[in-house]
Amino acid sequence: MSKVIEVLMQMASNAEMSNTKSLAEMLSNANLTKAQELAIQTKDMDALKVATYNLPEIRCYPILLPDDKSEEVSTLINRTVANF
Amino acid sequence: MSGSLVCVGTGMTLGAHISPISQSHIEQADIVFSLMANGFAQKWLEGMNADVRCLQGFYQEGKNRNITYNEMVEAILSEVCNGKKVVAAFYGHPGVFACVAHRAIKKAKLDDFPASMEPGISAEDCLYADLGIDPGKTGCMHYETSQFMFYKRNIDTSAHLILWQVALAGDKSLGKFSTGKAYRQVLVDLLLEHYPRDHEVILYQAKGIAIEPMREDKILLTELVDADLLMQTTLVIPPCSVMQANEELLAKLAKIDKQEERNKNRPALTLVL
Ligand SMILES: C[S@@+](CC[C@H](N)C(=O)[O-])C[C@H]1O[C@@H](n2cnc3c(N)ncnc32)[C@H](O)[C@@H]1O
Repeated sequence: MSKVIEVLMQMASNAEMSNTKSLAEMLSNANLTKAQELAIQTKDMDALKVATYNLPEIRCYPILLPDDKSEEVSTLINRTVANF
Repeated sequence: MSGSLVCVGTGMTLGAHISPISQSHIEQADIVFSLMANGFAQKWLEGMNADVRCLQGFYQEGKNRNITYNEMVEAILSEVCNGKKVVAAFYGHPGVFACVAHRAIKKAKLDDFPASMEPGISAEDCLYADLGIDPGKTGCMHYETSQFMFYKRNIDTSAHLILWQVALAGDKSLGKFSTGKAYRQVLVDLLLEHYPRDHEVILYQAKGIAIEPMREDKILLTELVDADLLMQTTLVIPPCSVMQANEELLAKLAKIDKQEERNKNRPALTLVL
């Protein structure tokens, strides 16, 4: 796994990382590039993107339709009609 | 070998939210199809399994998203049919405001393949934590924004109203990646039928990676037209009225209470033979 991802995982899953000293220590031992380390320290997401080689591009991710006629609804309509 | 499908959620924040069972499914799958919210999360997933196939390529501006979603389902199902142990990993919760996992599981089951879903931490979960909202306090309604516009809904202004995919407000073509001011004005006009002009609403974005701040921009409802809305923005509309007591129903309940009290106080009769 890439080093920057390991660092982001550590930061997100280890409560100790809210301690500035522990975070600084982890960062200095993480073997990140200078640009990545700086981007993380300054919480600069855009700079981290630029500094991270080969980052997959995500352009879009809606996965829902406003008008997805689901089974449940059509069954319900049929049942309502049948009751008239 | 018979194929199978598990749809898992990886949560909203990389590394913080994934459940042990979802992680294990990803690690043990033959193939992982993915729909992540950012490049870091995609890279993270690629570190967990050697065969991760990103579904991003199916999206195309101008292409009807219904076709996109069916193509995604087909891609997933074709590998299940090939006898593979398939995992489809989605950011957040795979079944919350997300149709691909539901469609894929349904189709797999129709074809007699084992298929199931593992929940994940959704934007909704993060929203309650980050904004300090308890949906049980006065209630909470959730709608996909365009659906909310296309259909007549009963709006309860004493509850929270949460609108998802607000950046796509009013898109009938299903092919846009965002809609413009004219569309948003229609949404604002609809909301103004129920809320005052100076009502404060919140543009919310949970953090995707540890260093990213969450977004909690408080704006006036009328400012929504010019606001910076991203694909990951959720609109939160707090209540503008107080809950009205249902006097008729309360009277009915009081009657039952009274009857029960009377029954309790009635002397017990003993049958003497
Ligand atoms: C198709 S839905 C997918 C929701 C996802 N399945 C979940 O569990 O949260 C996409 C919508 O979810 C909401 N969303 C996605 N990412 C978000 C984030 N980081 N913060 C807040 N809302 C988000 C937005 O309303 C966005 O338009």
